[in-house]
Amino acid sequence: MTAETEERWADVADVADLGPTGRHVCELDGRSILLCRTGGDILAVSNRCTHLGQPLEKGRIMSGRIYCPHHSACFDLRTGEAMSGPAVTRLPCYAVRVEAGRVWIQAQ
Amino acid sequence: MTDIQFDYRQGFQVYPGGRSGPTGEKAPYIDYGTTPPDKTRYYSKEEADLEWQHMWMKTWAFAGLMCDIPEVGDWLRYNLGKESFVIVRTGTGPEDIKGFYNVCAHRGNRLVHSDFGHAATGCFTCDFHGWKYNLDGSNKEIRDEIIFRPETVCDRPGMVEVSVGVWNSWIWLNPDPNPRLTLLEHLDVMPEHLKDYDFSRLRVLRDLEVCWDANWKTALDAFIEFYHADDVHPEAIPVSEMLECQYDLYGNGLSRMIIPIGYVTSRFEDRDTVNEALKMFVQVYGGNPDDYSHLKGYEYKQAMTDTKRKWGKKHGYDFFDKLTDDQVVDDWNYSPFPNMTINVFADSVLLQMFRPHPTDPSKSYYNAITLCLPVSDDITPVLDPNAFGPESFGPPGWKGDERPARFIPQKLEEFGYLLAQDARRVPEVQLGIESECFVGARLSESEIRIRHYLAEIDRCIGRLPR
Repeated sequence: MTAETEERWADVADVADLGPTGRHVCELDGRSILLCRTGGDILAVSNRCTHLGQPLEKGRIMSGRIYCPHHSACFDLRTGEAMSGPAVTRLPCYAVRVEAGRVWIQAQ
Repeated sequence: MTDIQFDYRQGFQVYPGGRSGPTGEKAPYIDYGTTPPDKTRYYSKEEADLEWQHMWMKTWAFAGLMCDIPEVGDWLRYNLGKESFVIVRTGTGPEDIKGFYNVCAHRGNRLVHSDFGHAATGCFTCDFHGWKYNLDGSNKEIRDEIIFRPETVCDRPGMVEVSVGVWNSWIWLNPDPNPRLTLLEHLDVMPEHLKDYDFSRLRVLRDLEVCWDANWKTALDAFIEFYHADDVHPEAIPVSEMLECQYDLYGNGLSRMIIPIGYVTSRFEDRDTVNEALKMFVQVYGGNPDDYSHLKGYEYKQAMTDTKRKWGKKHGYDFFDKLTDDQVVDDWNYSPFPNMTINVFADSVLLQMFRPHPTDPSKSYYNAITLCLPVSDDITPVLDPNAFGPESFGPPGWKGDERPARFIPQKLEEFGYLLAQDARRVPEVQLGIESECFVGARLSESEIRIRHYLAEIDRCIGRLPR
């Protein structure tokens, strides 16, 4: 990865950090980001439900969706779309690259 | 086609001499007569209201799978008509679940809004005013309780509990907190018949739900007889029995049909030649048709039995050893009252549920869940029971780890080929039933399961004595 692209991407975690749960919370520019493994991919989304800002990290992940454990808002992990429940705003998503066992996400 | 004798009192007995044991035996005939059922049952609001009051609110119905709520705090939503329920895992035991109305006691908001979820905070929280409920349904917190006059909430309003039960890892729910029958009583002989199957090892391959323009009974009727198969599923003619299926009636509205599979049937003059569809059926399960070249078409089921037993061993399913040869190959289709069909194959199961629409008796909800046994390696394809021929090959090395979302098919082909063939007809039949010219269904004895569950509805409503 070149120096120029390093300015736009951030090394946030090791793949191993996702562990058996398949998820890991990291920080980027003061924002809490949730990394999660689903369908063989690692995805990155904001760790704050767009309903009331509650953390999503303990939410249930099924079929490429995450269900907020607080009021059951449901988001598509790839697009951030609010699928059902009280949330109406899209969940911010981040592009992810995995290189040499490290997880990089694109800073917004 | 060879001459076939049929005595309606005897029916077709697919396993002569009791070769598949007592569970495969033909059940005694019940004479329901020949009068067409009242067609208004399939569209009148009055009938729908009677069903709701006397049956739906007091009967066990399939609600979900234990494999969908594996951890304490996991929950699933079950909608039935105008009601919504939530079923939550409360402990680590195989039946540690509770069921509640999905209604906040404060102002009636729905507590959960999606099909699945997890109460990570150990409680349900209403997103309207923040009331919290423990997993046992009791009230945990009334936010700003000081603003309530004590008598308004002194009873500590909680979630309203309903009856839930588990059989072989499947969940049933009865809105009646004091049901007339236990779940096992309600299921009559089905648990005994299927005791050698381990359904907890199945995983969801497909889960679809659609609202279609047909009464729930119109849809159910399409799936509890095989008389339609020649016309609706012609691809199955080379490999499946069509006419000589066995229809059995049991207690509490339960019924069954057995569809023998894997040989050249009486539909063909030449029953000796093995057709290509049968050979492909063997190949699909990893067998080599050349190994069975000594078999005639009418006896080719032996090839399927042998191949599927080897498949079961290869992938670690010891319970196949407990199944009869017929159970390894044939389709044993059970229909627990009131609204479900279960196509039981050794390696896959198709669950179909037919649920009433909240307001319109000419509409209903259809939910089809395809369950398969995962394969043990990375190259064997899982077999999709909803497809024919090469399209029945599913993903190689399928383990069922990623539970697919419940989806609403937008196009007919998204049902899967087999179900699409049935789905196309269902709304058409509803239109014809509601026609002025239609006097009611003239039912054959192969359609007797229809009369059987209608009679059980009549017992629920009080039109027939128990």
